[in-house]
This record gives sequence, C-alpha cells and structure tokens, in this order.
Amino acid sequence: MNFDFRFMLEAFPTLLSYLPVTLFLAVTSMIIASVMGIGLAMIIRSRIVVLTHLAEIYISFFRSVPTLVTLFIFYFGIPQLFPGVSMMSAIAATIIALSFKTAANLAEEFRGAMSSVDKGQMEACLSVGLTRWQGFRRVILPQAFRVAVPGMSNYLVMLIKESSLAFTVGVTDIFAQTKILASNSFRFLESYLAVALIYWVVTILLTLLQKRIEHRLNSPYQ
Amino acid sequence: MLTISHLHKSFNNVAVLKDISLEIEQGQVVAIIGPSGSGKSTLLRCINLLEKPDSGIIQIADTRIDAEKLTSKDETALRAHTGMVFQHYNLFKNKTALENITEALIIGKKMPVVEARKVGMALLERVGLQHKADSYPAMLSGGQQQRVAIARALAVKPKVILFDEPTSALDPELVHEVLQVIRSIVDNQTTLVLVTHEMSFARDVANRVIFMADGVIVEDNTAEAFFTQPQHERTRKFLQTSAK
Repeated sequence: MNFDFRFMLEAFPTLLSYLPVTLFLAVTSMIIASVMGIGLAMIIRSRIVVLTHLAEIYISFFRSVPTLVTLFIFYFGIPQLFPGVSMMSAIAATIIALSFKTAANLAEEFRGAMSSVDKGQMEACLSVGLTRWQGFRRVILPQAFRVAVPGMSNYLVMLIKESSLAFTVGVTDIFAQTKILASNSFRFLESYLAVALIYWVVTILLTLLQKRIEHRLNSPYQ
Repeated sequence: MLTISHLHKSFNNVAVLKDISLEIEQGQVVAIIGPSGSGKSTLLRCINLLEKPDSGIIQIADTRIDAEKLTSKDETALRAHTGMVFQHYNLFKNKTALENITEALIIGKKMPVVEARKVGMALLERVGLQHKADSYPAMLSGGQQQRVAIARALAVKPKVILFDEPTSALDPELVHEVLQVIRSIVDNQTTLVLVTHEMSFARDVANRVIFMADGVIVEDNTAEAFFTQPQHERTRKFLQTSAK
C-alpha cells in the first residue's frame, strides 16, 4: 500500500506551527463579527426605518455571496478604487471578508436571542430607574448571550474552516502550508489527511470548551 | 401627591382609558379593582410610563408631565418617584436576589457598592430573605421572588409603589407571605397603588378603593364604605359575583 504513515506523523509538527495563523484569523474575525452582529441586531430591533433597511440589505448581501467572492472583492477589487495605494494586506483582507460575512449571520443569531428575553425584564429595568441602554447592557444582553452561545460557537467552527480560503490570496495558514508540503513531496493523501485531523481535533476541543461555557452560563437559571 | 388628569389611552383605536382623573394623597393605600379589560393595569402602567398615555397630565410630587409632550427626561424623572411590582415578578434572571436590589442603586444611582450591598441586605432582611441573598431567581419560589421584587422596588425609595396584580401568578399557599410583606410596608409615608383581585386583602389593607369598568372610574370610595355600602349598581353586581 502506498501510504507513508511516518511521513504523515512527521508532517504534524510542521503543520501545527501554522495553526496559530489559522486561529488568529478565525478568532479576530469572530470578535469583529460579534461586535458588528450585535450592532446590526440592535439596529434592526430599533425599528428606525432607514437604518433597518440598510442593515437588512447588508445582511442579505453578505449571507448570499460566497466567502471566496467576498474575499476577492476586498483583496483584488477594492485596491482598484485607490490606485497606487495597496493598503490592504492579505491577512487584513481575509479578516475583513470573514468578519463581514459572519457578522451578517451572527446578526440573525443575536436578534433571535434578544427577542427570546422576556419583555418584562426591560420593564423591570425601567421601573427601577435604569435607562434603556443600562438595562440592555446589564440585563438583556447577558441573557441573550447565553442563548446565543451555541450558535456563536457554530460560526467560530465555520470560521476556522473558512479561514483556509486565505491561501487563495497568499496567506500561509495551516492549509497553505499543507499544500506546499503536499506538492513538494507528492504525498497528497498523507498531507491532507494530517491537516484534516488537525481541523477535527481543534473543533472537538472547541466544542468541549463551548459545553463548559454553556454550563457556567446556565447555572444561574437552573 | 399623585395627580392624574384627563388621561386617555387607546390600543389600536380601542379606548382603554377614557378621561381618567384621580388624586391620591401621600401615604394612601389605594386598591384598584374591576373586571378584566377594565383598564386598571393600563392605568397603573401609565403612571410610570411603561405605557405611554395618548393625552393627559400626570404629576407626582414636583414632577409634572404632559403625555402629548413627553421627553425621555420626563420619563426618567417620573420613574424616579415610582417603584413597581409586577404580576410575574420580573426579577433580573441573570442576577442574584441581592444584585436584583443593588443594581438600580449601583448603576442607576451610582451608590458605592459597599453601601448598596448594605442597603440591599437590610431590605432582604425586611422581607425575610437575607439567607437567599446569593440565590438566583430560578432557585426561588414564586412567593420568594415576589418578596425580592418588593425589596427591589423599595430600594429606590419611591414616593409611590405600583403593584400590578402582585399575587395573581402565585400558588394559593404562597399568596399569604407576599400579602404579609405588602402589609408590612404600609407606613403612612409611602403611597401604594395596588391592582388586585384579592378582595379581602383590599378591604383589609387599603384605605381607599377605586372600581374601574370599561376604561372609566365607576366608584371611588373609602374601603369601608366601598364594601359595605357600594354606591353604584355596577359595583354591587361586581362585588356579588366576586364574593361567590
């Protein structure tokens, strides 16, 4: 059988040294997307007509366009508007594309989570003299966050996988390194299987982490 | 102390409050009773502007607001004079019993944390729940939650406390402990306005009863006279049916 098990084992340390790049892309995008997603969800809930429409158009666009297309728009397309200035590094373009897209998905997630918090909670905030913003920040948002955690962790897992698209604009993440390794050695199966296992384990670890966070967040409610 | 004049409120073109005028003195305990849909809860919720009246004037102490020219400053000022106890308690689910009480003090009134906790513990003691300070609402019974909610309403030292059917969601055996606590806060200083279905409690604790039906005040009388010599046919009928 033409399978070099040893090659695969030896590939792990090389590939793992690029895991931080992948995690950096995913986690940074997740943070930016979460902030944007909360903002979008708040805009839609505010029912300010013009803003709500703009937010809905944003969400509809970024949910519909493939991530790769979004990435190419930002990396190859946008600099065309500002000739002579190549402001955007490949890493920045990847993070922008990933976070803009994920923000659209998370906005829906957050909107649902915020609606799931009983209306009486805000009324109670107002009745003791808190402002709407204070009530939102201190009472509504923490309760909505608890509901949103499973959904958020799904999107984080998705981001880790989609960050592999960064190789198309020249970022050397874990997947790009795998491609290099594979084409230098012609050990395609070993290389790609190795990286697949790494993605798998990372996802398993994240899921465990999610369960622990959920457990902690849920304990006051049981 | 609390003056309402010519208050109007409609939901989807259905008039729920029709030109309500009312004056309540400081320290009075007023029970508002009446059949479902009579507008009594809406009236209560208009007093702290959880519902926005369509028109009318509300004045509590030195704060006077005109419903047609409402600003967010007005809302804050009026709510600063009121506390509310809800039918479904509405305790902050992500906060402990003590935090439920101190939240408004620390975040709203910028009171130092240590002092706020002292105030909070004293209030919990007053409703007999100091041993539950660190429990979350989900770990408390309905009666306990409502007692914490009363302590929370007291914390902001309101001039008026509004009770919106405070015992309707409770199991019968838990009603008593909550009524007991409400009774204990009657001090001739704080004004209480209660929307309630507990007739005997209203008779017992309130010194004034307002009977509402179809968005108007039908009868406004002392508690004693209201239950012994009701002035209106509509009131008599209501008392008869609810006595059964």
